[in-house]
Amino acid sequence: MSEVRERLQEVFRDVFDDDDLVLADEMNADSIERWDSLEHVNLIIATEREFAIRFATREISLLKEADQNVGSFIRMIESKLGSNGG
Amino acid sequence: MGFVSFGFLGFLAAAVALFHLSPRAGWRRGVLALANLGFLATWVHTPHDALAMGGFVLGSFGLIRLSQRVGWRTLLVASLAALIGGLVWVKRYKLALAVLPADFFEPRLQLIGISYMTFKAVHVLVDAHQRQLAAVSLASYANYQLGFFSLVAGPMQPYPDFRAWWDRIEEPLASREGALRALSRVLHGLLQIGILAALAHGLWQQAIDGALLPEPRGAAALRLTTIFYAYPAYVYFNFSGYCDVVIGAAALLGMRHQENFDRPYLARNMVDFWDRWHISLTHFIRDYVFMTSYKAWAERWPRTARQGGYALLFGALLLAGIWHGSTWNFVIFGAIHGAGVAATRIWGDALRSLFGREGARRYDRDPWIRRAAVLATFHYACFSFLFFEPGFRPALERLAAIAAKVF
Repeated sequence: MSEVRERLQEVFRDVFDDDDLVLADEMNADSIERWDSLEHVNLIIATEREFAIRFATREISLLKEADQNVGSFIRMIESKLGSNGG
Repeated sequence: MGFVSFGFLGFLAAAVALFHLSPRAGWRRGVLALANLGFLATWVHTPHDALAMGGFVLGSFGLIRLSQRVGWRTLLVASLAALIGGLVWVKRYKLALAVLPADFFEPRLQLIGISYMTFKAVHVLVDAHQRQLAAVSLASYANYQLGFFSLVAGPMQPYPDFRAWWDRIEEPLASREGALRALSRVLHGLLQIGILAALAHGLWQQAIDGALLPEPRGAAALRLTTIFYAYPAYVYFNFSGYCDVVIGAAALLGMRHQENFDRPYLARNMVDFWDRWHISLTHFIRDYVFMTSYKAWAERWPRTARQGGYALLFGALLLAGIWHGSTWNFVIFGAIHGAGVAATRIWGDALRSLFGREGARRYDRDPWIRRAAVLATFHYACFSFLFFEPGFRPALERLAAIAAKVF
């Protein structure tokens, strides 16, 4: 498991209060219980803190769309970390 | 020019034919721009309104470009204030008169589609400020704002989707099946508006016409029932039919619009309702109002984030209600929806806290609870539409008169 995935999994477990949650690329807001708009923002805030990155409004919105999933989330984080030189 | 008219069908047919006959992308953009201006001309009645419309498009474009270039937060805040202030002024919000002088809204301007145009401008402005868009061009922005499909009543297409289509604008409609699907969508929408919406509106009109006359209790109860169900039916058939026309007409030019309705009266709760009703508006409110404000709240006051979330859910739907119209009844409409959405979230949290995750899951999956929830949500939504009709006082007087006869 990549480092980003591992750290993001901990963020998900913390936000959704589920220690058994195992992230898979194809997971999305429909497949994770309670992933609504409010928890989505909590997830974004926790992710921003964990990785020391910032998401723009449009990126936050895109990650909530039906065609986006955990895989897209990880790619977006990696891209931000890459452009931060991290 | 209304959508359910031979004039509009002729206009659409001419625009589509010219678009398809145009050999180059530049010509197609020109056809679309002319069609947009031609359609707009049928809605703009005075030189002042035409100037104001042009001023809005050019002014908001200037703010967007400037914001994109300099990235000043103060400029973004001032621009947003100018856009929202402009909307309040043009729509002459009655509630603003509580703090503003009575002649504040003079001179009067009639700008068709200003509510949608303002939200679209806010969306492009925020995304441009946050460096999420490539350079916004005047031609693409003006046609995005004035697109004849969605000028009157949406749906709100995200600018990047429109821009992607505008930039490629290749030979549209690769197949005969695609054309037939688009045409049948237009026809479906027209029939829905012309038959189902007209029928529901006729029933509602008939029911309200005799509302103030004396009648037996049973007749008054039937009248109240008709008003209660017919108006929500009319609003749904009319608006979703209109969206069918828009989506089908846009598809004839190869443009894809997102679906705006998904059987909203089968929603399980009010959060689910807004995921199915006027979806493009819900997404805008969710992204640019709720999630933005909740993120700011949760970062600043993490200890009260949950309570803040409930309050902001209420506020976001209250705003959605107010956005629909300038009179007090839309404040009530928004408050009912805000309360419904916040209560849904509070109820969900309470269930998990009382019965744990497994208990809440069993509750969610119980088919009888689901049926009861759908029925309750449907009636809650119908109740809210009692306050959706423009003209608050006559509606309230009618309801009071009928209720006095029934109860």
